[in-house]
Formats: sequence, structure tokens, C-alpha cells
Amino acid sequence: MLSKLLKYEYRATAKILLPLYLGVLFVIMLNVLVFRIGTLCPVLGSGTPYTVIQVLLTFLCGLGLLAVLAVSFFMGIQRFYSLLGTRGYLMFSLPVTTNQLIASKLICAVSWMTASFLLCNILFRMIGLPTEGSDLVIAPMGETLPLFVSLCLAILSMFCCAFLFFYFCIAIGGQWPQNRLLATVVCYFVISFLLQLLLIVGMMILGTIIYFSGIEAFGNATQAIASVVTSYQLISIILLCMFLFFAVGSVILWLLTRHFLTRKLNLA
Amino acid sequence: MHPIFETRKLSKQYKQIHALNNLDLILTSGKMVGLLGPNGSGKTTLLKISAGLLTPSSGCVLINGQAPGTETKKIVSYLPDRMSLPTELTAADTLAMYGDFFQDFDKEKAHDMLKALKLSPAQRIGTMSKGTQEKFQICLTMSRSAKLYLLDEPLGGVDPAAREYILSTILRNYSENSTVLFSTHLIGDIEKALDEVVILRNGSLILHDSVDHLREEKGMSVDEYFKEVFRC
Repeated sequence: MLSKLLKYEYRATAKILLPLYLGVLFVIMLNVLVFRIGTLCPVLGSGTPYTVIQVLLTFLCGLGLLAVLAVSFFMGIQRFYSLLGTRGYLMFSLPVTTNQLIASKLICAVSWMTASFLLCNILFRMIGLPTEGSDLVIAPMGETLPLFVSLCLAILSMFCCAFLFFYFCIAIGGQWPQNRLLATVVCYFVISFLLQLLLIVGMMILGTIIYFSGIEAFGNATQAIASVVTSYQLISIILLCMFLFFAVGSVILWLLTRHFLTRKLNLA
Repeated sequence: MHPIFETRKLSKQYKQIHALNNLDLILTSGKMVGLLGPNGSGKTTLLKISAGLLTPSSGCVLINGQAPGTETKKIVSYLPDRMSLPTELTAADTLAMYGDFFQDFDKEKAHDMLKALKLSPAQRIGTMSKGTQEKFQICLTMSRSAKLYLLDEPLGGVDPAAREYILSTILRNYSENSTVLFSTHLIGDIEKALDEVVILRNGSLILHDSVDHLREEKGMSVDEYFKEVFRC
């Protein structure tokens, strides 16, 4: 049933996102073409009209990428929000589990976000701008392979966690009989504030523990680790820790969202 | 054998309002049941809980012996009181979607109904008139060979001609082994088709009887009885 849900989810989102992606890709290609013409034929590429066209196209590329990122993100959230509205009357009548409903929305949202990041990478690569970790994308071999894998895992888990956080806020906002959107927005800010507060308190406790257990011992331990592993490995470990953090967060948010959609479902 | 539909001490509370109050009800298979009551009596709430769209405050609903969930949704065909189909889909896409998710969906029957409605399969739902959307939604609901049909106000908000079409579609397409729980205010239109009536007031059951027995005992039609009970 998940594959069927995904089929309809992708079909609905692709109708809007695919033309946008193709449009931006076209502008990127045009930009690259103009850039190459200027490089290969300096006579054509030296005048003011050429510079104006190039600046305009680069601006359009930037704008297009921003639009792709924003629309992908917004759509990922809006599709879930509609689940708790009129559309939910159909979706919750289907013989599918709540897990399948959440999974279909999440997989679709995360894959579109990933696609938009790949589009960004294509643009930067084509116009010759350096991108963070760009070498890894070209040649994920040898020592850089674990770094590449951990980077992908960290980014994917971060996307999942971000979307699930919004889903969780929407599920809580759905408990209100009226003004659900407002309730969702308020939930988002209140929970974000509480989580930040929790993070600061956690960091303070960790800092205090390190301070009292001996700052020198901590420095020595850090140096010992740094001397054993290479810089690539160190970054990989940090990225894997990020992945674990976001993965645990995602699991908790998933369970909470599922709880609200099964035990406290309250379609308007 | 389990009754097809059962509620046990079912209650739903919205803040201070009791939408349903300790409702006990049993429906057996093969019945056309009218769910009647004035506005706010709990009809929609009962149907939404039964369809798995709302969680009760206490008590439970059992459909074929099971609480609402994936298994019950396979045998329940639910028509909500509003348009819930994706407006961006065409009629043909929607039929394909129903066919994908519901094993008991009869595509041929649905296509025949589309033809009768003079609807093109390529037409988008969003471009249909409100009345046509409602007719299309009832066609989809009744194209399933479900064991239980939960129809929430299928006759509300449509003109008399459409009402007749919807009613005949329901009567033509439900099988004798199925139960139809049909909520409406327009009792006169459906009275002849009903086997039983369930009347709610303020979330409580005030009557569950066969239509023939009610007529015999009270000496009046269901419509007249309803008007007498709920006279303002």
C-alpha cells in the first residue's frame, strides 16, 4: 500500500514541482551556454550587453533555485497539513496504516528536497563555483568515501527531522477544533523555544561536567583522538554523531506524530 | 456471528458539549437504516468515529467485531458530508485510485455510472459543478461491494432531481447482504426505502426500531413522527 500511496503522492507533487525544476534547469543550461560563449569567443563576451545578459541569467538562476528550495519545502509541509483537513476524509478512509500515511508524505518531501539540493549542486558545478564537499560528489572513493556516506546520512536525517518536526506541530495543531493553522504556528514557536532552551541547558551541564572533571584531561583526550584519526575521519565521526542525533529525533517525532494521528485524530 | 455494526457506551465530548452520550446501538446485516436527528444530534460524529476519522472520548465502535482500523476500512464504504476528493485529479484518475486501494471496487460499474452522468473520464473534479461532484462522489462510494455503507447526508445541498438520482443510485447498488447507515434530514424522500430508523437527540439514542413497527405502533409515518418529536 505504501508504494500506491507514494505513486499518488509523487504524481500530485510532480505536477507542480517538475515543471519548476525543468524551468530552473533550462535557465542553468542557458547561463552555462552564455558563460561558455564568452570564454570561447572573447569578442562576443566583452561588451556590455553580454555582461547584462550574464548577470540577469545568474540572478534568474539564483532566484529559480531559491524558488525550487522554498516550493519543495513548503509543499512537503502543505501536503501533510492537508491530510488533517478535507483531504483527510479520503486519505484516512483508505485501508492504509498511519505509519504508511506518514511515510508516504515524508519520503516524498525528503526526496524532493534532496533533488533541489542536487539541482543547486549542478548549478554551482556548471558555473564553476566551488561547492562544499564537491570533490566528494565527483569521486567518493578511498578515504573520502566514508566522509561522503556520513555527509549524505547526516543531510538526509536532518531533512527527515525537520519535516517530522513540522508534522508533529501540525498533528498537535489539529487537536484544536478551530484556527488549526494558527494553533500549528504557535505550537511550532513554543516547541522550538522549549527545545532551544533544553539544548542550552544541556550544553551548560556538559560544560560544567567538563570543567569540573578537569579541562586539561578533556584537552588531552581530544588531542589523543585527533592524533589517532585523520581529519577526514574526524569529520566523518562528527557527521555520524549528527546523523545519530537527527535519527533519534526523527524516531521520537515520528512516534509522537503517529500517536496524535491514531489515538487523538480529530478531523475538522 | 458478529453484528455488522455495534457501539458500546460510545461517547464523544468537545469541551463542554456531549456530541455522543453513552450510545449503545447494534445493526445487523442486510438493512437499510436511516440515521435521523436534528442538527447537532451527533449523526456526523457517529459516522466519523465509525469511519475512523475521529477518536471517541470513551466507549467503542465495532465493525464486524473489530475496532475501526485498516481491516474495517476494507469493508466500509464511507461518504463524508463534504467533498473530499482531490480536485486536481480527473474522473478516470480517481477511479484508478479507488481501484488501487479498494479490492471491492467495481470499475465497470463506476464507468457505467460515469456514462449515465454524462461525465467525461478526462474531466477534472475541480471543474465539475458542486452537484456533479456530489453525484460523482456517491458513484464512487456505491461502486464498492462493501459490507457497510456509511453515508453522511448524501441528499443534503442538492436539487430534487439530483436527490432522486442519488437515492436511486444508492438503492440500485447496495447488495442485500450489505447494511447502509444513511444520515439525513430529508426523511420523506427515503422513508419508503428504509428498513430501520435510528433517531438521536443530543447524542443519545431515543429510538431504534423497524420502520414497519414504528408506523404500526405510532399510527404515523416516520416523517410525521420525527416532526412530532422534534417540534419547536
